Amino acid sequence: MVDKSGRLRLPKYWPILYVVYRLRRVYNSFDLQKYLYLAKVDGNAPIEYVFVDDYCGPRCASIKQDAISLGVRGYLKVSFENRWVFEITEEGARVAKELLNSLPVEVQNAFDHILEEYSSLPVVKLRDYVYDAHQYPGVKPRPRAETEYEELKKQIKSEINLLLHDFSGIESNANTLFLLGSLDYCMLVLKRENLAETFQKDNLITLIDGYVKKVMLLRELLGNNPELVGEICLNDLKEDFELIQEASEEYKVLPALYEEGIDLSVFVDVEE
Amino acid sequence: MDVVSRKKKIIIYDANSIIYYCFLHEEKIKGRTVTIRVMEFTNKIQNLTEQFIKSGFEIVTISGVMNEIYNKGIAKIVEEFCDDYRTKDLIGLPDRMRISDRIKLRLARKTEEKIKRLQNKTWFTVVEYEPADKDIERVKSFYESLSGTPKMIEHMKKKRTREPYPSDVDMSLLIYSKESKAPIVTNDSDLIDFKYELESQGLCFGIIVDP
Repeated sequence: MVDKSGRLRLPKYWPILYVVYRLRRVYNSFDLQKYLYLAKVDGNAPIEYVFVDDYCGPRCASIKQDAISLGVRGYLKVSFENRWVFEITEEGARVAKELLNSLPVEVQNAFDHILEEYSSLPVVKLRDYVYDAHQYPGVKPRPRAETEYEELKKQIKSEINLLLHDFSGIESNANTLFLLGSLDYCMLVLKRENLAETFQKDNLITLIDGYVKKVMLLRELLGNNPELVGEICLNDLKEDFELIQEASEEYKVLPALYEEGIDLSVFVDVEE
Repeated sequence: MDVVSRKKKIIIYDANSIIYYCFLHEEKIKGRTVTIRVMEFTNKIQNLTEQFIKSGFEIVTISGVMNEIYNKGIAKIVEEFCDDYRTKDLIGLPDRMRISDRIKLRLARKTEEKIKRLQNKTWFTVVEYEPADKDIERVKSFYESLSGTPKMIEHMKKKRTREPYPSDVDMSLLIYSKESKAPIVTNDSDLIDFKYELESQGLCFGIIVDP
């Protein structure tokens, strides 16, 4: 695509291709979203994507969709291994190099600096940085009273119980097992959570609340046919659940469910 | 019948054979290491597989079986395993407690990962296979022809099913067995209850009952 002055016009997806080209591989869509957000806000890169607040931090749903479309075009190899994985292909690298010619050097430098600084951060730390420290610099989350947290947790637990009840009545399949298991894990995290650090407490509860709301929406959409859940692709929920596990582990509340070598008894709740 | 295909040296596994083979995990529980496996099946299918591999056989399945495994098969086996009263003993849970959904999900995920690793083995192959409609109809007709016989009545009662014929994937496996001249390793009652009839009517190459 060429503009009136004869220069190559950058397609909307350019920053996605740029990030994956530079890093070769990006392991989940959260990271991709956050790099683009930081490049836009900090690096003043000409990025068209519009970010909105989400429980996982600033987010633009079309970034992941466009990345998947780049997979269809053959520019990226897109796969899902409990989270989205985007890898550059030969064709993608060729197109990215072409795009680089139209990208001002200062934008490239700023973008590269952001990738250098943040690409080694674990996903929870990156999320915490973008969501709290960066997006609202110097503004600590409004401290809630302990009773307020307890009320919120009580409400989420009751929502989880409703969902557990609904999905446990369906013939078992991979999706029902995932939904029941992930909600059950969230329930245990809420029971065990006793974080003194407000920032962490707020983050963890927000993540779980957002996840449960997404599952509730799914349940609502299924209406009178909850058994159709077996036919639905739950990759986005799976990726969200990974983030909850990572946050729970990072804040030392409960190990990630899939972690190797842990004692299974940590997942046993004697009150059940 | 010879239990293995001499020409191509391949053996066909159904969904359960693959899941049981991979349902073998070590977990730490209250400090001790426990081996998680399906008591009756895992060891036997492990030994059988080892023998096949040593004898130079390639283990093959069809893509429909893999889809069935990931969509429903693993979940079904994990549920059955966790409903077994011996599992609570193994995990050290008191009788009054049920095995939680989060532990079930962990076991399912570990099994799924093992199956994915199995797909990278040189002796294991998944083939894209879609049988012709007429072949499916032939197998279906065979099962329907048994409707009303004491054997089929008993079988349907045991399986709590209204249809006399098995799933499309099972019928595809029978046809693939016939075409590739290789036997199927299975413990599926839809196949093993009619092993003699299926083999004698040439609807499959052979059925190896596992265990």
